[in-house]
Amino acid sequence: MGDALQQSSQSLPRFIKESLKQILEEYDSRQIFYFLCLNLAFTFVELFYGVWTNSLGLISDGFHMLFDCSALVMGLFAALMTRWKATRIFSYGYGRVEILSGFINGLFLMVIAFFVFMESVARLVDPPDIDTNMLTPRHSHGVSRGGCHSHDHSHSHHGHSHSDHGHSHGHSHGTSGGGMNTNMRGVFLHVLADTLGSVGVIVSTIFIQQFGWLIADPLCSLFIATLIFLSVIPLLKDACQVLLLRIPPEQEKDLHAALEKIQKIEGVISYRDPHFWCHSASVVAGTIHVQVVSDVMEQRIVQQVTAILKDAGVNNLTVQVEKEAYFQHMSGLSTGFQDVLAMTQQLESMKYYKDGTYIM
Amino acid sequence: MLSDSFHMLSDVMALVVALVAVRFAQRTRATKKNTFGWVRAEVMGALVNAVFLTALCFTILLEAIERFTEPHEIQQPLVVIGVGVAGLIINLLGLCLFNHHGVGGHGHSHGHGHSHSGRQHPRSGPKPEQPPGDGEAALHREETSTLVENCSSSNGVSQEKLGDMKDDMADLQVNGNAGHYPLDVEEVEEDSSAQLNMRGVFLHVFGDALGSVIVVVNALLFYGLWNPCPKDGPCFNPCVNNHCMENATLSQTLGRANKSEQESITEAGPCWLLYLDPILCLMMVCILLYTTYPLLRESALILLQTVPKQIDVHSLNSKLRTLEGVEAVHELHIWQLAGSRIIGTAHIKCPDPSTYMMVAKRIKEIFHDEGIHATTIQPEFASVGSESGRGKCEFPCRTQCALKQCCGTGEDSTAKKTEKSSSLSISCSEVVIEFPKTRRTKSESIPSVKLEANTDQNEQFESSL
Repeated sequence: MGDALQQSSQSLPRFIKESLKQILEEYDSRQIFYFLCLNLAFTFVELFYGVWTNSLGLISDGFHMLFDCSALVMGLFAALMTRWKATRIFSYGYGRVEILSGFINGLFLMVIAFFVFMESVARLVDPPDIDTNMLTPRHSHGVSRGGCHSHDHSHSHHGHSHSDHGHSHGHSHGTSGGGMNTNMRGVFLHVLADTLGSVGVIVSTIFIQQFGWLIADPLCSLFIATLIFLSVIPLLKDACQVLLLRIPPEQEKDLHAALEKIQKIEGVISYRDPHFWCHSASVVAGTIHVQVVSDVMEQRIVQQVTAILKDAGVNNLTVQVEKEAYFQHMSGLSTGFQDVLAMTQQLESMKYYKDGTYIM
Repeated sequence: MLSDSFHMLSDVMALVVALVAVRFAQRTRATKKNTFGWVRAEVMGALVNAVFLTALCFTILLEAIERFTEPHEIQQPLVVIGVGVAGLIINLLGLCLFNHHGVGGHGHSHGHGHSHSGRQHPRSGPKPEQPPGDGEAALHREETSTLVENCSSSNGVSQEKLGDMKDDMADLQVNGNAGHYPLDVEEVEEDSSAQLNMRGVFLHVFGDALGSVIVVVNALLFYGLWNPCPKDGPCFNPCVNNHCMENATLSQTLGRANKSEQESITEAGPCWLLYLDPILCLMMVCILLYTTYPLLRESALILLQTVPKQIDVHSLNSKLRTLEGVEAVHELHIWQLAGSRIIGTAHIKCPDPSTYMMVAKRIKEIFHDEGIHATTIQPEFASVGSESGRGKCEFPCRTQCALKQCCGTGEDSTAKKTEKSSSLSISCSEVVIEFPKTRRTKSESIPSVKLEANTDQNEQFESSL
């Protein structure tokens, strides 16, 4: 990041202005930004009011919202960073920041769910008195705010209307416009958790006021905690898979078929160390070492391998072509060459015999 | 005390996360789905722990702020002191264990984390230490062990293979300049991913220990200095509830009126004691955040696949470019898989395959000197295929394959690719199929000296094309 700042060689205010401009250009980041502003305004109002009337509930809720705002800030910053150009230190670009921020948002949500769960358990065991009058207006504010935003969000993403459940299956199949990327999912789930929290408080308040079931409060919290937890799990799982450098699941079959095709290329003896991973929403990278017979043009092999793998969806590929002469030069420096050397010698002798034009 | 038990619970969760990460990270074998194995699990474990710590700091901060607005007295200071000291002892024990493990782990060659619960003794590593003079063999050992093992071998079997390989090493002439690695540097580097994970756990236990210290200090001071309200007799507490100030003035006026009754009205003890707890909590939060931030940053940078901080990519790039025979270097990516396993890829443009043969060894050496052992170098040649003005990559495909071939055009290729790809691939393979027929006639002249064959091939192709 320091590298990017150095590259731009701008002072801090200009950097902020430029970032703001970039934020407002893109639809995703614009949404997060507006919601962040709304949230911040509400937070300060609440804090101010709480300090003025010296109400503990309002102050603590204000700080809770501040914590939420920090998660939103992280999401916004990640959406901004994705568009920065690649530098020497971040050689693939900053696209992966989205996934990391989605992951961290998911972790924060898990922590929140955990604490709500613990609190509700504590309240089940030892129920305190609740003053229901203060709660309703504040939480209806919260619900309207959250409902507004999630409504917008769900309509913006091409009919993925998931306003009830957080299970947005917005996998981007190579392009980022098709569904929600991980960062937006994280922010969306955060907002959803907020909304659910407020909804739960309202519902339980109604229950208490109408029926006098004091147990409604912890039960609602328990229910909401489990909902949040369950909705976060898909997000965490997806982000984990990308961060652990797993083959992107949508392209797994294609990749295996492509590897078999590579084996059948004329001149290819074997391949070794195929590694493919999803770098960010739009970049799938890979490396592979290919062992070839000595009398073949490396360029041709590289071409063919790249073409096959590009069809399978890998758009950032490095192919190392190894011939037997290569091994003898590389003897100190490449790994496992002994086995491959033996294999190539064996296979080459077999190949000559199969062709029938040579003497073995 | 309820909140303290929650903190201990989160401590348990941190240990569980670290344990799961360590278990996963032992599967270094590549699977069909995870081509690198699960090696990164430790870095993820460290990140998860760091994030949990940060979240914990936030909650402690919230509680401290609550305490500021509504200070509580501690009801039974002696009990709190007892529980606090017990918690502190347990945490100090954990600290000693993890501190020893995190810093002094020498025998680990695969970076396994050993203390699976806080109570086991750290064991020495599974592989015996090799004498430091055997730098060459150590290099090979590190190579085979740093890369992901593709064959199905457990640790025991791979040790046998290492033994075989070392014997073969002695016979062959080794061209590479392999003797640069002191053994302890290797081992410290190899440990670093496990170290990250253990650091996460250590910081968590450290935070808990700080919490216990604060609880004990607070309770001690409270016990010593606080004048509690006696159960009988009128008493008012000036520290709690601002709207009781009217009562205070009322009682003062009463007191002035009836001086004889002043002694019976007692005041609760010094108010600043009540604010000590939140202040100490704030200090603890600051210390924790300050120590957690480096861990968070390091694991995040590894996961983002940045260039590791010990490698100067600028100088590496210039070293590569100044090699003779190298015309250009692009798509240079260097990133850290986990711990000491650094992976590098590059596309090197050379004039022809024979120069590439000579240059490839030196390129690999340069990478090895920096500690990057898993490299993939893609050669590109300018002389074969005469379209040298075409962008950065030189793939001599005569038809419109060029759109598909080059690196880095991933974004716009996805849309166009789907329509053109099927037809294009056929045309490319058609072009290619012609070659083998011409190649076979030249087959008798396949000599044992490879360089000549290559130059023959080049000439032959240029003429036929």
